[in-house]
Amino acid sequence: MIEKIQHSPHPETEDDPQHINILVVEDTEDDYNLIIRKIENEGYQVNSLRVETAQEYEKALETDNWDVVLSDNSLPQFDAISALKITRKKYPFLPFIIVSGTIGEEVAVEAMRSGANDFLLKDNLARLAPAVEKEIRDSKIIISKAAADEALKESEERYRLLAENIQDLVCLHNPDGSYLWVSPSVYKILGYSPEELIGKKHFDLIHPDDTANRKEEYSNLFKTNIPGKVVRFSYRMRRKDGIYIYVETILQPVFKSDELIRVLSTSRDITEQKLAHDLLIESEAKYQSVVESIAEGVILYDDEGHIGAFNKSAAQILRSKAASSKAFEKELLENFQFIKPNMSVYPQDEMPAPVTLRTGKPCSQVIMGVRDRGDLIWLSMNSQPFLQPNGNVGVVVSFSDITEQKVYEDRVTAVAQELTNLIDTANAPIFGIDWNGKINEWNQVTAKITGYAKSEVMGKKLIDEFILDGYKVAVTDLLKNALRGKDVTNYELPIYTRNGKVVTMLFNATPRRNLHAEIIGVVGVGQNITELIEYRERLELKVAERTKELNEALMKEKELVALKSKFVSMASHEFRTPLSTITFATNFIKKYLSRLQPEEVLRKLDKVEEQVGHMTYLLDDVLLIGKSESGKIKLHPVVINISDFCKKIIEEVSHSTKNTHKILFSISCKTKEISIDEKLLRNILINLLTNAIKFSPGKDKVLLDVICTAYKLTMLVRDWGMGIEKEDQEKIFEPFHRASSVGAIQGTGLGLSIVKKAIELQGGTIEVNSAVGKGTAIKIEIPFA
Amino acid sequence: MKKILIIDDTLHLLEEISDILRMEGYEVITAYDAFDGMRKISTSNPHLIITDILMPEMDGFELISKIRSVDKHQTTPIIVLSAQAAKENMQKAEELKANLYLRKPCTADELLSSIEKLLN
Repeated sequence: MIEKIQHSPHPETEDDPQHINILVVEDTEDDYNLIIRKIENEGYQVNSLRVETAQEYEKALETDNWDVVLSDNSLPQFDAISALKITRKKYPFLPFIIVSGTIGEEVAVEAMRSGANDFLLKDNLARLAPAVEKEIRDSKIIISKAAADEALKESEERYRLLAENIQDLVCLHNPDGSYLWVSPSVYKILGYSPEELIGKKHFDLIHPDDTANRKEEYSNLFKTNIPGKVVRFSYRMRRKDGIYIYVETILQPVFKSDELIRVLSTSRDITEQKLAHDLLIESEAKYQSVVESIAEGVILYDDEGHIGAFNKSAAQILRSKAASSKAFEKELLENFQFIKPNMSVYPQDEMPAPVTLRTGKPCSQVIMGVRDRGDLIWLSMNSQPFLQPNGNVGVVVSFSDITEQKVYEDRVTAVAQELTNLIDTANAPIFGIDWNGKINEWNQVTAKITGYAKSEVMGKKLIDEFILDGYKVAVTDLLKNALRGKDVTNYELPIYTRNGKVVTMLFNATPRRNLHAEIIGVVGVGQNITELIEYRERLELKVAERTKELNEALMKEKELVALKSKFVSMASHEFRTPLSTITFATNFIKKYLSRLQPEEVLRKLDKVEEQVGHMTYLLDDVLLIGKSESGKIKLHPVVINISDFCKKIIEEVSHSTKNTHKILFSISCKTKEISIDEKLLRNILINLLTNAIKFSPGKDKVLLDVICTAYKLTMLVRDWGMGIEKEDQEKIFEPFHRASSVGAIQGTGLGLSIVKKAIELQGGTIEVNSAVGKGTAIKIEIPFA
Repeated sequence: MKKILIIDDTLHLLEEISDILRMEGYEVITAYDAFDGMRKISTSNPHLIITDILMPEMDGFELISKIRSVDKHQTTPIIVLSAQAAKENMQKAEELKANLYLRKPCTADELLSSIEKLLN
């Protein structure tokens, strides 16, 4: 149904005014063609489209840029009023002309009211082209006007928003300073409404102090006639409530044809910044005064290592009178010598400031000596990086004069070293332990005694490493006592040495205290008494030996005393019996002399002599025993002919025993001459032979065998007599012992004991071999001296 | 005639005492040890006994107690003639009811007067 007619080209004007896009709302094809032809006839080149319904119309409106709409009034499914309404919704200025066959007056009025631009009757289309032309033209004018209005409106709105919303105070002034226009922000800043300020002068709101000297300057500002010159300044302004605020203002003159007509001011409330700035100033002043007043010297170095600032103390400490940083730096470099604590030269690049500058790391408590024309000043120096205003890192160096402390410290250190040396080299073992029993002191003598070097034992537990098991508990208690403040004196402490030996220390433990008198450990001072102990042990051994000897001597002495007592009692008994015999015999003679024959008297006298002789022997024996017991007998060896000697003794014994027995004698000798104590040998032999004869009564012989070799003399005496009981054989050598079997046989009880002593004196032996009833054999051996 | 028994292991002393007592008119019996003495007491019933103390095998004390244990010798005078001087020996002799303790050596008169006294 929609037709689009492309008409033949039409001669065009330069502006191509005859080119028209026409949208036609028409149900009749003929009417449409008529309308289009009518316009083309007027010389227009028409581009047109016919629609019949609302949908087609709406779509067509969107698809092309129509210059005009021509609408029939009434269509079967559509009508002009509806089309107009659709049109005006979106295109208020698109010319809309009703072209109708008939039209009522009411409809026409209604259409015009609804915004139709014109209406024409189909039967009178002469006016169509001019109407179209006119409406298109009018529409264009209206459109451009509306666009201009809109642009203006937008621009105004933008300025208004800008002026109303900016935080700053924006004002327009007359050249005399009076307010022409004031932005709404004035209310927030100064408490006035814009209207209240119009006509007032700007100066009147400025703090009198701020205008006093500069009134001229201010007024000139508003009169300056240099185009484009912007002036910026700050001052205090009085708010409506009387409070002054700091503002910063920019003034901009506005010229018209070289004539100053307005001044634009833009002011900003800088009270907060100002206060902050003041605080900063104040703080800096304080900081400055602190830096200036502190006793520490402070020097600021910039990032190139040059001195930027220094305080008074820095100059004072270094005895400098330099006024400027530059002079100060020069003085430092040229006049001073820097020294390390060990008195060597301090290299420039090892000093704190260059080090911190190089590494960015702080240095602390650096001790440095500074020599200035002789005086040596000791400094303790810290350095720290800081951010300079220019963004680079500089160094702040602070230092204090510790010369006095240093001198004192050196002295204390020297004393401490001296004390340490004293302990270390003391000629006594000194060692220490801490609260945990760990070794913290170990001097040279201790190391020497134990064999452990100080470095090996430091930190080790004394008890675990050095104390003998049996002493651990005791020593632990001892050290605990010392840690509680009790002194321990003269404790004998055996300790292990490296080679496993045990040495004994005489040990004194004293609590070790710090400067505050708090106990921090134990110091042991010892004395190596191992030698003393060994000496003591040797002495004890000696004493024991001596005691034993003494005891032995005492025993011997006791034995001797007992022996003596036995001697006395025995001897008295042995003497009393012959004395009784003698007494009775002499009494007998005296009493009965008249009745006696001379023979009888002689017999009694013989008896007396015999008993006197016995007593004499007895006395000799007793004296001999006494001598031998007290060790007073000395050997007197003489050379004798052993054979002759024996024969002589045999003769004597035979005679004294009245020849009751024959003494059988045999001798076998390598040499006849031997060296021997003759007296002792004589005693031995007489006793043995006499005994043999005495204790073999009824027998007629005894035997004597003598053998001598180069080394010893052996003698054997044998009888066939009564023999000796077994239990008696051990006792027969005791003085005064007489065997049970001897019965009434006379004897002193000293014979064999004398024999034994005599043999022992010469280093010989005696052996008894006897059987009861069979006889006895006694063998003696005497080595030659 | 009174019988006196002398007991001593020293033969020559035994002889001397015997000689003296015989001269005084006593019948003398001798024994050279305690056993011999006991035998001779039972066989000859002496009126008085003189004994030594220190003798082999049985000493004088044992002999005295044995003599006193025989009924008819409970009162027979006993004279101890000893070289021993110890007090305890004298005491012991007294306890055993020996009548007299004479110490060697004593004189013939001492012995004779003691015997005379004891026999009357």
